[in-house]
Amino acid sequence: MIGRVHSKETLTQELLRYVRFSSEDAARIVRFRERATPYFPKIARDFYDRIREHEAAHDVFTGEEQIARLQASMVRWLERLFGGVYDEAYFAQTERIGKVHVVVGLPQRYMVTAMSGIRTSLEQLARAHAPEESADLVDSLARLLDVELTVMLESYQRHLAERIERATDVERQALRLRAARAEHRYEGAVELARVIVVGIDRAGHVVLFNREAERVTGYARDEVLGLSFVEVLAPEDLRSTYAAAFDAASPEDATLPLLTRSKKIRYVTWQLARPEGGVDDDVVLFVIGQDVTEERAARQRQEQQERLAAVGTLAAGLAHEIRNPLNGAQLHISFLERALAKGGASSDAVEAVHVVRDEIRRLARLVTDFLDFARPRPLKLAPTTAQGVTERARQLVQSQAETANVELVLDIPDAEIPFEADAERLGQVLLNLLQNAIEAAGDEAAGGGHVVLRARREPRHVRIEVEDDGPGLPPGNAPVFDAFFSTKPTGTGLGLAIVHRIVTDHGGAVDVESRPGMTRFQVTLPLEH
Amino acid sequence: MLVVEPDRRSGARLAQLLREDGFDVEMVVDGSAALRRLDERPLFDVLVTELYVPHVDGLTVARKAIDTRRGMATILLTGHPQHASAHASLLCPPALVVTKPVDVDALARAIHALLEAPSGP
Repeated sequence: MIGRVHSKETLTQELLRYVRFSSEDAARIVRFRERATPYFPKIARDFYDRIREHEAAHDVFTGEEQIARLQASMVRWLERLFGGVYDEAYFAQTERIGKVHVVVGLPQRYMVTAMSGIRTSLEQLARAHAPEESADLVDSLARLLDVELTVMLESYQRHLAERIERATDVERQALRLRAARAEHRYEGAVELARVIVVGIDRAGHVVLFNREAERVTGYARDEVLGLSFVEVLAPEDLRSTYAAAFDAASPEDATLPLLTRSKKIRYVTWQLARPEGGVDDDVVLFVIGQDVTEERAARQRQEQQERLAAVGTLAAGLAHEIRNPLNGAQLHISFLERALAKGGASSDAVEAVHVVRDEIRRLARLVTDFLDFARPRPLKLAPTTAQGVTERARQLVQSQAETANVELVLDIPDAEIPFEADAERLGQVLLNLLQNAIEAAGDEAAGGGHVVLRARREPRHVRIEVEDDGPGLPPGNAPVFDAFFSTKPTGTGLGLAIVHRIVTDHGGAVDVESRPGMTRFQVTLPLEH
Repeated sequence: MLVVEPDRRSGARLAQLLREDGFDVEMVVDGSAALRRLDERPLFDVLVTELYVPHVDGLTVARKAIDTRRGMATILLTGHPQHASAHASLLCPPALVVTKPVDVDALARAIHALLEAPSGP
């Protein structure tokens, strides 16, 4: 239908109007249809034979079957061309042909030349089979084919542009995806690695702070981003060491203490790496670190164990060598003691022999204590209770307390406090503490001192305390837990060192609080190991 | 009782002191002499031996003593109490371990206690 109203006409209507294709043209073509139809297959065959002469055109074909299919569809196209109705639905199909050519990759130029070939074939057909109006018919067909070709080319161009656009879009998306993947991979690696990764910019400020860095330092990244690494994380006395390491042209690896949020020290083996091609405001130095605090402590413990084992072996051998001469001395002193007693010797002589006897005993005790201290013994952990260990300790010192006129008070809750410990060694801890306390309390009070043995359960620990009302430890921070430190004239200076050793072997802690009239030793042990 | 002590002077003094306390004491200074004596009569009630003695160790001597007289009281004198305890517990009845230097009065009391206690099967 050809409209006269231009304002709303479509592209095809406009084109038909432009070439002045009228309903008479359409009628003329329809009239010729019956005579032309038998020749359509031949036209299609000739058409494809010509195309196959061109390599570039021929390349798009995949085989004879496809060509047969294409010839058949060309016959249908010719039948359509002679249909006489040239509306939107008609040209929608024409457009599809343009699109198909894009899809199969047929170059545009062949559409133009092919159309020219079809035009020639139809002209010949018209002249041969419609001589009465061949001139008008040829003219009508030419104008229709012009519109047909224009619509095809238009469609071809539009679909090609869309295709290019889509291709770029897909490519862009692929690139974006690849970048996102790479970023995700690096981010994942940095985040999940069990190593500290901190990025530092030119000003020394933290710009990257991974999860392990958060875990080890206790800082959330928001708290440190933008702050100076050295000021926040380096212990004060090591700031210049850190700064120098960061500034070094070729940074060296080093193990340095790190200050955590709770002001604790963690030992970290650092590896410093300068990324290449950094941008000004970006990371100029990666500070990569491994928290080695536990390994370091374990190594130190191991070294100490080895040292102690060596000392222990030596001490055991020495003990044997010392105890035998002491044994001889003691036996002969016993003989002398008895002889003097029988002979009615002077009190000075008896006194002298007693002094020697006491000194021998003291030496013997020193050997025993020293062996206890030096000999590494693996703990034999077993379930026990605070009630059990305190009661056994009380029994061991009961008579000593009575002799010293000291009242021993147990302050133990009824509810059982079960925990894991080497009961024998823990018994020694309590024995040493109680003996000290009884001696201290006995010293002081002629009217009788007091010693309290107390146990309490804490969420994850058991706390055992030994408290006396003796004169207290000397003021100041006396190193009471050091070996060979003693405040007693006859002490070996090893009792509390042994206490300390056994408690720390249990993963516990021992503390002391003292003032005149009150000394309290507090042993804290984990409930479970 | 039989005392086995490689240090001759200490051993002799120990024997003398124990005799003063009323015990009938013989003394030898090495393991092979101890084994020979244990084969003879009269039999002993108590063996007091150092753990480390020449030729044959004190533990072997203690085993032999228990063989000659079932349930005999044995006492190991030693400068190595931990080491000795492990061995002492293997004997039946277990040996009493006494760490040197020896307090004679305490040793005499321990021997009396062992002799008064009902002996093992």
